[in-house]
Amino acid sequence: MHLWLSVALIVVGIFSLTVGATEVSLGSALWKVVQGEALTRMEAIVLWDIRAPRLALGLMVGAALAMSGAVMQGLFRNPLADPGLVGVSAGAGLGAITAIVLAGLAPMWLALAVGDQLVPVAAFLGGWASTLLLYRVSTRRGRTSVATMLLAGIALGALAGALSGVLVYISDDRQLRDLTFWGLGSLGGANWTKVLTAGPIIMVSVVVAASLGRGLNGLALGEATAAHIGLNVQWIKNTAILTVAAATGAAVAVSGGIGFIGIVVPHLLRLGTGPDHRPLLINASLLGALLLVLADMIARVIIAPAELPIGIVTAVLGAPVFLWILLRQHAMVDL
Amino acid sequence: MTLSVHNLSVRYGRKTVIDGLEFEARPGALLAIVGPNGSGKSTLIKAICGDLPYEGSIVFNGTEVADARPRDLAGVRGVLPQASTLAFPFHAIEVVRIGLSSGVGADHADRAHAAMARVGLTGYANRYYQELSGGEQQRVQLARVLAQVWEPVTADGPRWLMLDEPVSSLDIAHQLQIMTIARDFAQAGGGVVAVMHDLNLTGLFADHVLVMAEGQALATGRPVDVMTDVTLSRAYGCDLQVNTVPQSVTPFVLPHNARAAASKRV
Amino acid sequence: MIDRRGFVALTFAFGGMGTQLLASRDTRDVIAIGGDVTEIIFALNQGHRLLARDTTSTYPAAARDLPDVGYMRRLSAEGVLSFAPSLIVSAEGAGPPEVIDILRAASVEFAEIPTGYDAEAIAQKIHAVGAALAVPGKAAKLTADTHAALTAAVDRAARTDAMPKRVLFVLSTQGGRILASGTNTGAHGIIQMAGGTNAVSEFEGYKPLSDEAVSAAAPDVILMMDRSGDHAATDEELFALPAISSTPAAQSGDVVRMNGLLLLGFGPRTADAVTALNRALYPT
Repeated sequence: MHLWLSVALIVVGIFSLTVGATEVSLGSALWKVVQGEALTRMEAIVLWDIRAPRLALGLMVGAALAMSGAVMQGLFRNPLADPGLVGVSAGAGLGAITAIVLAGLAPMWLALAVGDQLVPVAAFLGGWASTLLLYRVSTRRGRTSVATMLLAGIALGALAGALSGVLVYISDDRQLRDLTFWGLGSLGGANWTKVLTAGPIIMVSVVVAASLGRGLNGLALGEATAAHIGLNVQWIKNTAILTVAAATGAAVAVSGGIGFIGIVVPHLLRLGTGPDHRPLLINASLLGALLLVLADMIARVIIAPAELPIGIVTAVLGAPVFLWILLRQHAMVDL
Repeated sequence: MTLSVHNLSVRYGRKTVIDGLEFEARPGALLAIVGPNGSGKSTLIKAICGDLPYEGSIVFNGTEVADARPRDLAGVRGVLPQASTLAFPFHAIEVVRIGLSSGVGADHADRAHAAMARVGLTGYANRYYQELSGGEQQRVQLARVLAQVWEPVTADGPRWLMLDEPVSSLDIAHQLQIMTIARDFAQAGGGVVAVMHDLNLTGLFADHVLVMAEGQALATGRPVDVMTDVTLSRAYGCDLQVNTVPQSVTPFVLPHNARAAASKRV
Repeated sequence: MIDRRGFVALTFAFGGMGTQLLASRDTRDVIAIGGDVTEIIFALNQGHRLLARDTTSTYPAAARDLPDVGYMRRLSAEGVLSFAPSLIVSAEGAGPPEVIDILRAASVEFAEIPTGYDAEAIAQKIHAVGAALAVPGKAAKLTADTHAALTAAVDRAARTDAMPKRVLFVLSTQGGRILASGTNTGAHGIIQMAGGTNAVSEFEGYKPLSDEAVSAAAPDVILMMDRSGDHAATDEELFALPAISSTPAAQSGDVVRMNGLLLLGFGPRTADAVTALNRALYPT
């Protein structure tokens, strides 16, 4: 499965570099490089500044979202769990909205320090802050209660929603439109700065999360039993929460809200290879990356020269698949 | 190499559930913990398993439970809970293998199958856990625990089975099957501690009995010594009459004037 | 950061020169972003230079025949580059900023046209578009014509004898919530010019109004855009809303619907919009 997904990912990745609104061709550009000829300005910009960072960002965001979904589902022992559910995405969104609306009030040194990255940085901080708050609320004497965390997540989501509402109210017309489009999610703003900002965080998170397979399998038997069979449950929970916060915060920061990848990808994989988290976490990262790059290709070409927000594409493709899975699986999924 | 509990207290908030409890369990014997609802027996076994913070000491083979790493404890004792839910559609054999996750006994590839056979579930390996009956699920869980502590005695000492009301939801044939497996484990040199609801099964299978009431030990000893009219009536707060199975010392328990008690309830 | 800003300023300076050279060749090399900007370009007789336009550019009809590069805040870098433009003339707020950076890096000149909601702002817009397209003479004439027509229209509107009517501009009624325009909006500007009074002046921009606030605003007329989709509440639906039903407008049944780009564009056609709105508000 890893192998097939990896091969498919490479094929789709290369294909995505060849597809776009302009007629720039990857093949002829590579041939020029081989021949030692210089690329035209257009070729260099389209391939290197537009398509390549976009592909890199798509791979990373897709992997981060699908991995986060799989880890959350294992942690909460609920196949419908998602970073959206426990307020991580909402917190990141609140950070971004705050940045968009209050950017004018930011002190000059801050504006100079983060510049164009103000919104991504704020989204990232929002995701982290909400995760830490969530964790504080639901942890007593070193033990994290998943039920409390779920409820606190709902409260946190509502709070973030309400604060966002207040900010929307005081925002002006132009900010309001920025907010609407930011909420839909897009890879349209991809550049190497974003790739280099989010990339290391996401890659470390995905690698660390891949080591959680055994632990999440144990948690499937219940927290008490997981401890009885010798797993360090608190360490597993800490690691899961931190990797999800980091990966989701970074992904939301650079691409806005992109839905359904985190729920649909792990579900599809469980249908194929079963619920064992050891292959699931790695496969989810690969399939998530694959599907997001595919969705982005659709977003880029379907109404070219304009493009759709990718959140619309993932919702349109993901929601029916999700419903179909629920219909097929209702007997098997123990909610 | 024992399980010794010394001056143990467990509190939930301000409420003291176990209050200065003392007892010792020895390998090679099945210790049953009995007592009415709310007497603290479930809390006791949770504390022994490391699920709850406690005061006093609980020492397994010389190691304080609170100071032990989960993995070290898992090498010494396995725990069968009252009931188990499973979050994802695993096969029965996968549930047993997950019991070996932390590396305890994971070097034996076929141990999971052997454990399934031991609980009479040969051929159930690739059935979905959630599709099994309650009794079958409980036997899968027992197979998981057995796989974890497969040899009752190792070079490092005896191993222990902790059973929390292991047969409460089972029919009588499966009750006997599971209790027999537990007793065999004890007779092979391992230790077994079982919270029991059914006094007659306790009389049949226990080597030692700890009777609890209101967070304290009311009596400990052999069934024939502990399971008396006076002790059990006091522990459970109702008139109980203990008799002995003919030609043995196995006690069995009936309410005093069972027919009258039954008709009064109606 | 400072270095980058300096660089941007330089790009502007050199880019401006480049544009003039290119403009003299009179080829198609411009993309217009923003309905008002596109209108001005056509009014300057420079429509033949356009390669493409954005979604909001729906007037004149010739604009709609051009390829659509999407919504102005969601431009696609590669989509825009696929036309190989040398100049983008854009209303304020095109984005996202990362895409604009890439376009600038690809040597596409980017002229941002300031926004505003009065006669002076229209003049500045036309002047800026004219400068970007290197047709300052035509721009000066269009500015003068537009200004004269607008002044005349506003004067005519101001001569209305009746008491100024209180006008509530409703952007949408989604979910029964009235999204209304405060000050510093196109709606506020056009209502004033047409001889009305904006019924809501307590805040800036577009905000949802509570039912009581709508009652308190006591509008004589409801003004809406005649768009399809979620804006297309029928008169019956509109007056059935609890917020609206208690207003004088509901009692007299006064609703005015106008094309959104005409009404709020603040371009060459604003004089027509003022006259049309004035006639609708004060029918003789």
